[in-house]
Amino acid sequence: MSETVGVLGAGRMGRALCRWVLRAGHRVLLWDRSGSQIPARLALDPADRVEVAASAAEVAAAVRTILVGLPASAVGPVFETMGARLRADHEILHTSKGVAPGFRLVSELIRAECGARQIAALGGPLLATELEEGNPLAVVVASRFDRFVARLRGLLADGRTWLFGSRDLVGLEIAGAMRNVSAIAMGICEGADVSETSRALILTRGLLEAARIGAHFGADRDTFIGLGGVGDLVARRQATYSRNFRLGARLAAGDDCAKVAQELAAEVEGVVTARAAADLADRTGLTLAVASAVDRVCRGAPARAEIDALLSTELPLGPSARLL
Amino acid sequence: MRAQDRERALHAVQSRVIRRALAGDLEGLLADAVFVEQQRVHELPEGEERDANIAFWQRVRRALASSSREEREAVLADVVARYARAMAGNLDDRLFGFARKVVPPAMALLLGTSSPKLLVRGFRRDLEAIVTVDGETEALRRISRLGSVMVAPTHQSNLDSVLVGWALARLGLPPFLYAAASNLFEVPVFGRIMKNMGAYRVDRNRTDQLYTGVLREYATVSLELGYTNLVFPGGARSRSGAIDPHTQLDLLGTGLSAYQNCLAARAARRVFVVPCVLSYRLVLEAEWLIEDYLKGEGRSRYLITEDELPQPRRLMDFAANALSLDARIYVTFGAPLDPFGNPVDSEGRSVDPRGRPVDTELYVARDGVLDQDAQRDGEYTRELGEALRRAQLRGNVIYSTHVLARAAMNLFRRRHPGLDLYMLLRACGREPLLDLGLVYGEVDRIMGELGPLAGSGALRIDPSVARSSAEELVRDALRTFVSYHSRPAVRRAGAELVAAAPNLLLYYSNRLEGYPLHV
Repeated sequence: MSETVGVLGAGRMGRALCRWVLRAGHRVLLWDRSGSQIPARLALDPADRVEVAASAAEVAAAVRTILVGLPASAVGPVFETMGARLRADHEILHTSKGVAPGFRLVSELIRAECGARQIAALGGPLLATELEEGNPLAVVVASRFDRFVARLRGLLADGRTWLFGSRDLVGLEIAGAMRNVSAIAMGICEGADVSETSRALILTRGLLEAARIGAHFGADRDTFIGLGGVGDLVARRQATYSRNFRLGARLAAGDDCAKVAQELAAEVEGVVTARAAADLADRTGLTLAVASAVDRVCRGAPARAEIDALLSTELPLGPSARLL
Repeated sequence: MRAQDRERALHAVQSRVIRRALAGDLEGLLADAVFVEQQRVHELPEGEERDANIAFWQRVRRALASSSREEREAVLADVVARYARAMAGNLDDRLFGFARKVVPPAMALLLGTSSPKLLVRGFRRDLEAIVTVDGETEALRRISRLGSVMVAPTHQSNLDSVLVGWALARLGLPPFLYAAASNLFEVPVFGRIMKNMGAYRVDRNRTDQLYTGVLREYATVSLELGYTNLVFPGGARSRSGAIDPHTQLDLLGTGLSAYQNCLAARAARRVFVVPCVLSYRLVLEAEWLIEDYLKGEGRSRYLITEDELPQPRRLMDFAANALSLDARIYVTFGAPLDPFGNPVDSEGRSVDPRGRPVDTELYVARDGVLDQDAQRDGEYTRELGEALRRAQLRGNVIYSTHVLARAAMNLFRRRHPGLDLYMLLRACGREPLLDLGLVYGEVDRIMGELGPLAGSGALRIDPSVARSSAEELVRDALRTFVSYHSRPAVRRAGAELVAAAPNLLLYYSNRLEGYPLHV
């Protein structure tokens, strides 16, 4: 049955979400910071069933299900403005691939602003451009509520997107956020001309670090070897055009992180996540060598030296080391 | 439960459990009960009770084997009635009033007079002098007038239920009910106190679904009838010594069930959950609990050497030694929550983290119709458990024993990096000496981290600890450990500390788990 679905954000991911909802046969109520310029940016066809809302709160008041195409840093402030309109039965699906300082997950940021509990994350090898074009995709939707996952699978069925369900919301959020840290690491490797074998080592260690953080937050280890973990990394490894990857490559060339981020004209979520992970490692004693190295490079440390140190670091003993 | 409510409640419990059983796998449930009961019955002492039990369960077995559905249904009703009646405690207001007056001095006597020194002085300590009841006590009083209350304390010791009971009575709260393991009813004095104060009997050996269903329903119905319930969300006593994540959520979920039943019946009754923390500087059963923890966590890797169970005698020792110190026990109540883990305002309305009202009916109903979903309800209850744990961490009082144990464990960890817990404990036993200067330094470092945490309300520090220097803190902790444990966690030997019982060090240091502290 056709219904109106709310979409927040008209950036790359927001546009992709709009197209997806339309393909699944629904109408969209869209909000973005840029306001009235949205239709032009979206190149909306008059026949498209997209309406533009004046505020995020208006979206909350009008629909039951909201898809969030905002970066992690925008989620808290936007939900703060919507909070009064959000009801206990609102359903929220977010696509952010980042965390807030203090390693606060996006679902936590949403929970902090409202009483809604039906919160899900979208993860896996999800490239916004492919989703927008309607290429066949396999993605993971995770929520602690089985019926909500089932509902989203029904709501977003477009005949081209495979939606796998999971209960491990926290695990999927962590895997997604840490994937961007790995993307920066791969960019650094590209810029520093690191061998393929060494890249594979760093990528694998990055994944283990994500799983380690997952264990710390009570996530399921299997999430990290599934579509939301390895699957996402493989897709990202191929996608050399991602912002995080490009940032990494520029950092390896000695460019300043803030300057590059400004040039990319968009938020590079991996930078914030690497910082939060390095803090977490410092606080808890978790071994997060790749994330900490990425963080140091983002803050101006020479890339080559960090890569060399990373490749010569002796691994701690334990079951995860055996996997290497 | 009061006599006038008891029959009504038993009827409701039985009819609900039977209805569910008939709608489900009746044969499976009965077979499960027969299997568990036959094992239990054979462990009973020989005599009439055992024979009667054997005869009853043989009848159930025969019914199960027969082809008649009617016979199985009849036997189901008997089994459920048997379970429910064995469980239901008596709550007599007169007895409760009596218990309320008599228990504090009786407990104090029990806890105080086994020390000859105190007897000689003729000193009768009152519980008031030992226990501080604090936290959101006003909010608790207020919401207890607005609906049914579930009090959810941390669980470290068998003393807990009596202490919370006493604290509730002291706040002038109405009589309450709680589930207690049936073996506790056998302890002299203790058992009687518990019975008079509303305990209902739970047999931990009975694990079949019919029995747990009756237990759950009994708690649910009592909340619907307006009784205050005491529920330990951790299930059993914490083995590790930490405020562990709550995993035994079965009884905790009765709050949500009661809320939904009231909604369905269009009854206006609301259900609230109040977090509670019991803070002790020494724990009665510490040695046994941590042994059990290590055994359970390490399984085959850890061989238990002695099997020490807490006996009534130990209670006396604990009382005499620990409580004759100027140590206070804290019973701290947190801000009330709803059955979904949302905070509630002074009117008892659920609010979001920003204080805006939340219509909780929408969590469980669609278009005004209740929507059954066990998986969803389990998740809500898990979230309630998380909210409770966060509140309990905030209310936790840190004593010198915890800080010293943490400092010693940190130093051992640094001395032996990379060792897993079991290897580390063994290493502590082999090279038990720690330089006192290092210990003071580590204590200072930890206190430096705890201070700001306490300042932001993330935990609490016992005032005597907050005021003392590292030397005073260590001295106080050493004195406290020696006063009760036959092998203290640590003792002093010249300019060094000896880890006499590394397991206890781990146990007491674990009380600081769950906080953002550097290791």
